[in-house]
Amino acid sequence: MFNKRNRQQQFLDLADKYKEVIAKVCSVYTSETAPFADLYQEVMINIWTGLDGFRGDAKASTWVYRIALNTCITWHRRNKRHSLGVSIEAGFDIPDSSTESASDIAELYSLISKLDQFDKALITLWLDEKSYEEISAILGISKTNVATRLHRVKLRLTALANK
Amino acid sequence: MTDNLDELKRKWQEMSARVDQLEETNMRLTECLAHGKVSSMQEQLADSVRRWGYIGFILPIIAPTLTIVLHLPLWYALLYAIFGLVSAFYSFMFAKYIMAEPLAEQPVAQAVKRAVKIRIRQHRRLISCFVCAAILITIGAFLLPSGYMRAEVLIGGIVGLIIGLSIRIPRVINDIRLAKNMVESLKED
Repeated sequence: MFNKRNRQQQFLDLADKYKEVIAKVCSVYTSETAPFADLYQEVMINIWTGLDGFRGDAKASTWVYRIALNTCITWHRRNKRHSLGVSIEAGFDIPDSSTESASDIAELYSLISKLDQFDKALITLWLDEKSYEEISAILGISKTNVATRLHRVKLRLTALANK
Repeated sequence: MTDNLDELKRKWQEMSARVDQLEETNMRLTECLAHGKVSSMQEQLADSVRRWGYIGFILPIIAPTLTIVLHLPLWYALLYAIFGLVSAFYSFMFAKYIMAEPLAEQPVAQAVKRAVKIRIRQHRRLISCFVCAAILITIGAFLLPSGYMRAEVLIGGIVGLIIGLSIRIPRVINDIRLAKNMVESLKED
């Protein structure tokens, strides 16, 4: 068990270290019915409530990815009564922010939004350059299955892009 | 859009969240989480199912009024009380099932399968309640000619059941379809 201060510190360390990962996962699953702020808040709540169970057996990044993806995939609107009421805003910067890059990224998001929930997770992990082993540990499917699915998802994305 | 996915991957990695905003957000979230009583969606779902369990316990308490006030047969009140007890028992078992495994930390495929199972059980529970209500109403309809059942009570029950069905059934059908698709997409190749 953590005392309150340790718990707060450990949470803040994890939240700060993986804020970009969490923000990217949330942005992939953001939709009209699932706002970014709600998803981000829910991921943070699950990290907070799951801290007692996190013993460091799994890699911290694997643990955070699992929580972020599971939360976004199974998200349901929280009753307002249980909302933390913290306003959350996030944007993304592209370093060489040419109009072309920005529009490519916007289109990539639009294409990913057409994938099913599980394939969204798969492509997000691939985009974040996770190894097949890590993807397999996060998603809970075999490495062979990761390779097969990834190939299929890439073909699908390319086909969608060429439509 | 460029055809090259690898090029997009590079752009994706270069894209960074506006860190300052998120750092500040995390600070505020930490304060809220540390000072408030926060529960995950999973805990909230289990709590709401448990509350239905408590409501189930109320039915045996109000069952005698069916006989005393509405003059329904004793066996009807008994049936009503049993329905409440079974519903309460099932709700507590279901709440325990929901909390049996921490969903958020499992590998995604397992977590999604588990979430789908919970959702389907939730719908089964709801459908069972509708079936039980329909049985009670049907029995009530048979009691109507004998004068045991009052027409306004029966009509109230039927209207309630129809409203409940029309609101929930389309959602249940849609949810089950989505759940099936989700499980289908998780099958190993």
